[in-house]
This record gives sequence, C-alpha cells and structure tokens, in this order.
Amino acid sequence: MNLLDKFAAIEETRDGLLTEGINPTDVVVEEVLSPTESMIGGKRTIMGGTNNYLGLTFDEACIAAGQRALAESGTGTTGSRMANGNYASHALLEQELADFYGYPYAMIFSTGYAANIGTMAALVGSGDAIMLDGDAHASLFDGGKLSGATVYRFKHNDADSLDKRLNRLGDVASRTLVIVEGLYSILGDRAPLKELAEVTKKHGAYLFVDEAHSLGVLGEQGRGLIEETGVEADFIVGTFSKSLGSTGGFCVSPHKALTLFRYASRPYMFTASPCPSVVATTRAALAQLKARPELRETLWRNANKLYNGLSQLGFQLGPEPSPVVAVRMDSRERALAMWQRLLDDGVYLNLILPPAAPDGSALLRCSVSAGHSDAQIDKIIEAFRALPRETD
Amino acid sequence: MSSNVSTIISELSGLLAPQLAEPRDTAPETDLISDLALESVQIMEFMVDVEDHYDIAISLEALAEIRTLQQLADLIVAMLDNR
Repeated sequence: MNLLDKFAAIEETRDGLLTEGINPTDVVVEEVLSPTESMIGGKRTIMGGTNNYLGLTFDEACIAAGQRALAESGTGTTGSRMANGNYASHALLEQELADFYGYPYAMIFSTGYAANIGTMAALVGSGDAIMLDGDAHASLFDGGKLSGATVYRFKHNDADSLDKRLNRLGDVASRTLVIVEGLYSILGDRAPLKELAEVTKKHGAYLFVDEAHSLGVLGEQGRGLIEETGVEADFIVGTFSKSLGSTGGFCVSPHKALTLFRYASRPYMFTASPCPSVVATTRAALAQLKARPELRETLWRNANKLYNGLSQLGFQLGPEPSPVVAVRMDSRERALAMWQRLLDDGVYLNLILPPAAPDGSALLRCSVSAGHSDAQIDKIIEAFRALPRETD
Repeated sequence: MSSNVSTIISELSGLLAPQLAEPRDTAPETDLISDLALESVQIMEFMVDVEDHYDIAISLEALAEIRTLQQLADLIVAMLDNR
C-alpha cells in the first residue's frame, strides 16, 4: 500500500454522497445576493445554514471600513505579528476585544481554528492534561494533539462526569485545562457553565470556553454564555467568522501570561497576520454588535419561530431553541435525499452525517440569521412541510 | 494476573452490551471496530462506562492503541496495578 492508496476509500465515500443533483460537499455558491440569499445551481436559494448569526456580511459600515483599509494599508500584511506583519490595527482590535469582555488581555489569530489550537498548544504541554467535553469541536481535539498534553474526554455537559475524571487525575488536575463550548455547533445546546466552572475551580484546574457560536448570540451585551451565566473563565476563545462575518479568532483572559503566548504559540508565530481589511471589517462588526442589540433580538425571534415551526410539524429537533436548529433524520440515506429536496426547493442547509453528529445521528442543520426575513423563515418551514414523511 | 484479565474481559462484554444493536458473542480477540462495527460515538460511550466502572481515566492517546477487548483488559489491569 502506498501513500496515495488511502484516498481510494475517501473517493468512494465522497462519490456515495452524490445520489442525484449536487454533491453536498461540493456546493458552489455562484453569486451572493445578500447575507441570506445566494445563487446555487442557477437558482435563487435561501441560505438557511451559514453561521452568519447577525447578518453583518453586507453591513454598509463594515464594507466601508474594509474598503478604506484596503486602500490605506493594502491587500495583505505579508508577514507574521512577530515580524513585519504587526500593524497598529491588530493591537487596536485586541484592545477593543479586551474592553468588550472586561478582561485585561487579548490576542488575535488569523483564523478561529488557529485561535483554538494556538491557545491550547501554548498553554499546556507534556505532563499537563486536557479535559475535553465529548462533543467538542474538531479543532479542540486537534489542539490537544498539537499541545502534547494528555487528553481525556468527559461526558457531554455532565459536571459529575468531569468531577469524577478530575478526581482520577490527582495532582495533575491542577495542571489541567478544562475545555467546553458556550453553544454547541451541531445540536445548538448550551453548556451548564456554572456547574462546570464550580467543578473546575474545586480541582484547581483552568477553564477554557470556546464561544465561537455564542459570541453575539448569548448574553445581554452579546458576550456569550460567559455573560449569560456570570461565570469568569480563565480563557475565552472565539471566532470572527460567525457573528462578526469575517475571518480570524481571538483569546481573552484575566491572566497576564496571555501576553507571553505570543512567544509560545506556534500557530500564532508562524503564519501571516490577519489582512488589514479583515481586521477593519471585524472591528466595524464588533462595533455593530455592541451598538445594535436589536440584531440579537431579531436573531432570537427568528430562531424561536423556526424551532417552533419545525417542532409543530413533528420534526425531532435539538434539545433547546437556539439559532442552531438541528433536524434529526432517521437515516443517512434519508438525510441525503431530504437535503437534496430542500435544495431543489430553494433552501440550503448544512448536512451532518454520521459520525459527525454527537449521538451518531444524521442531521439537517439550520443556522438562523438576524438577516432572515419572516417570509424566509416561513419558506424554510414550508419547505420542510413539503418533505415526504418518513413513512411515505 | 491472567484471572484478572479474564474477569475483566467478561465484565467488559457486559459493559459493551448496551452499545450493540443485537446480542453478540465476544472473545478476547474481538475487534471493537472490525468485528463489532462500533461507531466512534459508541466507543466513546463504552469507554465512559469502562472508566466509571473501574474508576480510571483512559487518555485518547491510550485509546487510539486499543483494538481488542484483550488489549483493553491489559490496559485496565496495568492502570489498576499502578494505582
């Protein structure tokens, strides 16, 4: 068997996804019409699965800020923050994030993925441990591998399971990073953060909260589950590529050690810094997030409307209403077929096939946006209503 | 030691039962993936039950090396002996 032989199995799996129409892993967005509409396969399509929670990707202030930065600072930095790529705007964004969270220290990364692996790899290493929620995002598992720490899992959202496992680590518990997410991206459920934080503190471990899907979504000011629960984490990590509509990621912390991660985080050091236009649109989006709480209100109104509408139709959904609305299908084959039917009907959703979903089920995942109109949410619900039922 | 291992293999078979769609005979050399076709989610749930039953913590790195019930039982015995 040579290096390339393993790709035959991947190719077979990929080809198995193409039943008819468009392969779900190869959807091409031909034209973007708005934060919630695109042209796909020559058809006007409602984007029902985009992570664009606040709908800011076409915000006039964000676009103007990006255009100004392009004109003033050019297309890219062509270097890392440790060398020629350290611009004043990077430091300004870090200060604005620190102020937003009320934490003294902040650091930005070129992607949300890099923020997770970069923070973890700087923070823990050989001889330390990571205690990871069983449903955590792939980037957090990858960060564990890169760090060299010993990685353990605890039962999803189960403080008792975490407690037992930290107990078993003995002295290592005080050198353990406990990692949870604010809002889980597949089923849209929240972490029981107060309980998890209490257990973490009891064992002298450190709490890392990934707010990728909860920044701008949860909390009165949009700071995420941390704000909603009043918990203080040791490290809050997040992404710019969802509510803030750009790319990049960040970490904020009350610990001064975060300022030294710049010298210890390889995913931070050995990559080009974020482009000036990306930093500018992110700063403008953060300002919008702070200044326009009505976006969050609209987002939640839309989320509840979709969740309740699909629930009334009898679909089995994630455990609680949230902007991530996961619709369970009874088999992989049905999920594939229904995903295609919805696309043919002008609704794009995310297809989640086993083993990606936490409980091994097949899902059609909607992520709601403040940019969705009532009519668009109604259209998504109607498209589901028109699907053949499982017994048909 | 060998009796410990055989007892543990028997206990593991019991812990495994909830993850199987239908009852299956298992042996020390039973491969969790190729023989029982367990998905990663089922393996995760099985391992949580195993950890709680023996009050041990099995790392993902150690888990990656495990294919059979025999290998898992050997690991458990080693961890219990080192406690």
